[in-house]
Amino acid sequence: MDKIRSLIHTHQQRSIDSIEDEPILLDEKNISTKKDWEDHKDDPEEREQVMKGIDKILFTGDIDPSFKLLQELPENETDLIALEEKRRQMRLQHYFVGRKLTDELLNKKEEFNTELDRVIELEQDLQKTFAVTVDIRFSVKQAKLGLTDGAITLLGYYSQRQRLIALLNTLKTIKILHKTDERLRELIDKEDFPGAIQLCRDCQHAAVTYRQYTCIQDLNSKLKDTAVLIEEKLDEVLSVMCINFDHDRYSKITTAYLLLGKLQSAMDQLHMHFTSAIHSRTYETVYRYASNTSVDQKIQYEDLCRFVPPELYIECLSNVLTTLWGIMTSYQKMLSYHYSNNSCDEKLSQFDKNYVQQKLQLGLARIWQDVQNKVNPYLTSQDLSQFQFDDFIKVLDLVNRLIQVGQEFCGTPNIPCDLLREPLRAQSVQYFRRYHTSRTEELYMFLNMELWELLPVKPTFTTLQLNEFRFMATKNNAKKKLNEIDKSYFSEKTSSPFIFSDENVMEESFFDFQEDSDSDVNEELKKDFVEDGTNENDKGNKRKKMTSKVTFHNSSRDGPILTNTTLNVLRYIGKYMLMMDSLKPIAFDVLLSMSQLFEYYMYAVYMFFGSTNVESSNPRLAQLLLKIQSSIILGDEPRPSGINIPPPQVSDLINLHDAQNLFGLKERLIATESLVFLASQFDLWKEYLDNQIPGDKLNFLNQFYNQTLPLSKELREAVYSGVAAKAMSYGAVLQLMGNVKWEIKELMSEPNSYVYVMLQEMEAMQQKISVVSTFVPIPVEVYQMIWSLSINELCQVFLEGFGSARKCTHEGRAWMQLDFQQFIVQVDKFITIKPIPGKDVVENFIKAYYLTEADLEQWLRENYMSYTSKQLNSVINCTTGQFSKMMQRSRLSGIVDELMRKS
Amino acid sequence: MSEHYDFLFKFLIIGSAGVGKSCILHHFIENKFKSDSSHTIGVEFGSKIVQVRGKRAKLQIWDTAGQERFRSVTRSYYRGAAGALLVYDITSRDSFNALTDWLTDARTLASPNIVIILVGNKKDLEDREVTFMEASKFAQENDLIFLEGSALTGEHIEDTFLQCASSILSKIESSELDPDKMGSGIQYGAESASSRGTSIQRRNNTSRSDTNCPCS
Repeated sequence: MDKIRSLIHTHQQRSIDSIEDEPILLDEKNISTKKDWEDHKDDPEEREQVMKGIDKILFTGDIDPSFKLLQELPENETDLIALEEKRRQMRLQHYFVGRKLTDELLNKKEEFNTELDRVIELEQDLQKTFAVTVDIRFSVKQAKLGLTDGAITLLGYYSQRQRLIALLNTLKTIKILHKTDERLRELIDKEDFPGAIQLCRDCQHAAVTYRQYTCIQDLNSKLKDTAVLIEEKLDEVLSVMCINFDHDRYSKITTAYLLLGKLQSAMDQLHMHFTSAIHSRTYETVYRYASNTSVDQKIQYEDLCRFVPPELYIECLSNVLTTLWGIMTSYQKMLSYHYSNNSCDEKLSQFDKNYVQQKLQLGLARIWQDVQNKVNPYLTSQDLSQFQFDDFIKVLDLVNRLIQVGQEFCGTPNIPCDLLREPLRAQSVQYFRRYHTSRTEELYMFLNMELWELLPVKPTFTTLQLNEFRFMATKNNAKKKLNEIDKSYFSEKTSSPFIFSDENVMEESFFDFQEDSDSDVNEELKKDFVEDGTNENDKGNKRKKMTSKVTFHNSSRDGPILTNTTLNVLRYIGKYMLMMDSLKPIAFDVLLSMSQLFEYYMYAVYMFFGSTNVESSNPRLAQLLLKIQSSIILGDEPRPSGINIPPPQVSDLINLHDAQNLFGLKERLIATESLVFLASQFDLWKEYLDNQIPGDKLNFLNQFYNQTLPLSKELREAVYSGVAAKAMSYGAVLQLMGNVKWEIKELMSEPNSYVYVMLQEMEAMQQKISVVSTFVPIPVEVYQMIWSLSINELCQVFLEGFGSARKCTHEGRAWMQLDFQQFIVQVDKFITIKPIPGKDVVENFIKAYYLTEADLEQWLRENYMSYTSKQLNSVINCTTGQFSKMMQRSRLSGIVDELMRKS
Repeated sequence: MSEHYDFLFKFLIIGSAGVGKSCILHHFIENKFKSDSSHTIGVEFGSKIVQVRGKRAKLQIWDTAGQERFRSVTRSYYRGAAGALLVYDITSRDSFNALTDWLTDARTLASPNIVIILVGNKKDLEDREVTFMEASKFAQENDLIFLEGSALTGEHIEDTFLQCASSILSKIESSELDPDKMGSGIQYGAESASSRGTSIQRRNNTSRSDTNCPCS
């Protein structure tokens, strides 16, 4: 560097020197020199040579070139030309060197500049460093001047404090985190599950931030436990919801499940919860009742049911059903919760919503099945046939109501309920069989005790006033109420439909068990249809005044004719019909039994009072009675299945052999008419029965109505003919008639005395009837029937008497006619009846006497059926007596014999 | 069916109208008060098996109407009754005064050996008109067992029936009563389980021959 610098320096000086000199020189020889330089300018070879020719010494720095050159000059040499040459040479050398120098300078200029920049930069850095150093030196100088060692220690503490504060905050947070656990538990206790879950999550999140602390790890596991606890609690509350649904609580837990993302699985669990609720609550309820007896704690539910004491059976059932109803209500509320658009649902996705709804809908049938499975063993656990009727009906009513609740629960009437209906049916069959047997035994006893006295009831009495029939009156109301209830089995305010309470019996029950609800009305009704004593005395007095007159039964003044037994049969039937409604499945059995009660009553009336010749007089009636006997009456060999009622026995106080009381006319009348009344009452129930009996059994019902009931009226004839046949002294009259000689020659103006005897007899009978009628007002048709039958009997007496005549004159025949006419006229006194029964037969008989032989033969062929062969022969004898031809007589007798054989 | 019994006793409940005869029967059978009670029409019936002196006795109880107009209907039920409950109302002097008539009826119409128990009903009521003393004096004079009770509360209701049955049983045991005698109102129970056969055979001897004729 120094070399170069010196070179430059030298060069510069030389250049300056040269320049000082040269202009002179140049001025002197301006043109030539210029030419030289330019010539050599582009000749590198020359330049090389020139350059080589330069004395090296000239490049050494210590030597002044000018001086050197001058030294080198030869002494005393004054040759100018040589000098000039030398000088020119030197100038050339100088030129080339200058030239080369310039080239070199030009070549290195870039590098120079760069280097220069760096130098400048360096210079600046140095200046900065200098400034900082100055600053530091100043600060240090300051520090040295202003601060002590103590202050620095303080600083050290301060920074430590700052760090500790930060740590404290962290610890506080951790402490809070730890405390949240308590808070969480509080929230859980308050059942604010969504809050708890949220808090728990936040905590867990925070815990992640502080995970470097050991204590946080404990906290983490604690939080995990809490999360589990929350789910357990949720599960617990969900199970409580099954028993006692609460909108708010449920809303909280669904939100919580939603937060946990476990709503669906919760719903999947739900049925299990309900099933276990049904199971455990039912068991608990039954256990409460059964535990009075020594019951093993771990007994099976099915066995447990057997230990419920019979007297608590209904109460227990009512409670079991109420419990089940409560669970079903919870389910319904849950369902309606999910169907209504409430706050929680807004958070639910449509998918979730559908899932839940579908799940709950599907659950309905399963819950119902569970309910049935629990009730079924209870129903089959005990034999209910010893229960009181009302109690048994209560059981049926409860179960039927459960079915209705189930129908509403499932939203369809077509639900499986065989598990309930079947035991119900089985119990019903068993119960009813026993019930019916007891009733028939009672009926047997009642009939046995029956004195066939008129039961004094008011004319306004109707069967429907009896307590046993009140269900028919209330039925419509109950139905209406039922429909109202239908929609509200699961509504908010509905109380259990399975509790019988005193206040709202009407609302709660289909049948009015608690009959006091309108007892005042009932009392009045009862008073109304039972006659009171004063009234009866009045009647008695009136009747005494008109002893010979018969008091006719007047339905507006007199009550229906019925007996104590009739009333009891009616009561039975009322109960049977009530049962029919409750025991739908065995309604036909009940109807059958009901008809048996009637048939037995009818059979008894006939057996007690009927005549023995019913087979000829009324084959249909005879057939019915035979059928009754063969189907329900206990014979020599009891029927293994079906009912066996012992043959009815009439009370030994009943006397049917005293002519004075017309052979028990009063009893016969009351018995027969009570039967007719009983039969007539069935009309009141026809419509009801039509609705109760299954369609395929209606035939039986119609047959009973059309063929059995009407025959009760026909029984009258069978009963009263027994009276009519003995009512008068027919034999005595006949004897009197036998004494009459009909072969008289003159016309008589007075009838025979026997006719007066007959009239006396009739008067006597009328008297007896009127006495009876003071006890029992006699229905007109009965009165007419008795008289018809009696008159018919008398006509038969006439026939017999006239037919006994072996010989008869025209006058005698006229006398007969007179006698008979007298009788016919008198009949009108007792009874206005047209035609008078038997009159035609007698008149016809009398008139046959006047026929010619040919006509008589014709008459015989046409009328033989109405007469005996003795009577016909009498006609022939008397008639042919006029012809006095033996041949004709025997021919006609032959015809009679032939006709009689035919019949 | 546990219908087995050793004896069958025919019972009768008599007394004036409204003294609570039906309620007594109802309470005895159903073990609860019959609140909707109305006047009995004619005669009603109830039966129950009770345990007396180690024997099972089936009580066949005829509950008669107290109203006068039903006398003609009820009189037949007196016959052959082994025991009778003669009921009066302790709040009704009239019902007490009528006892003599009822007693006469019972003694004449029923079997002479009939065991009669006098029952003063409605003991639960405050306004008593008949004192316990005079009623027990009446009972003593007429050789009756006497109890006061209430069909409302059930007090002494079962006792009346049990005491009556017990008295009959003791008379049978002491041969004072002969169950085989006609019209005693007592029958032996069936040895076999079928109860019906026996409960109906009693009247066989007394029945008239014409009731047996078949209709064919």
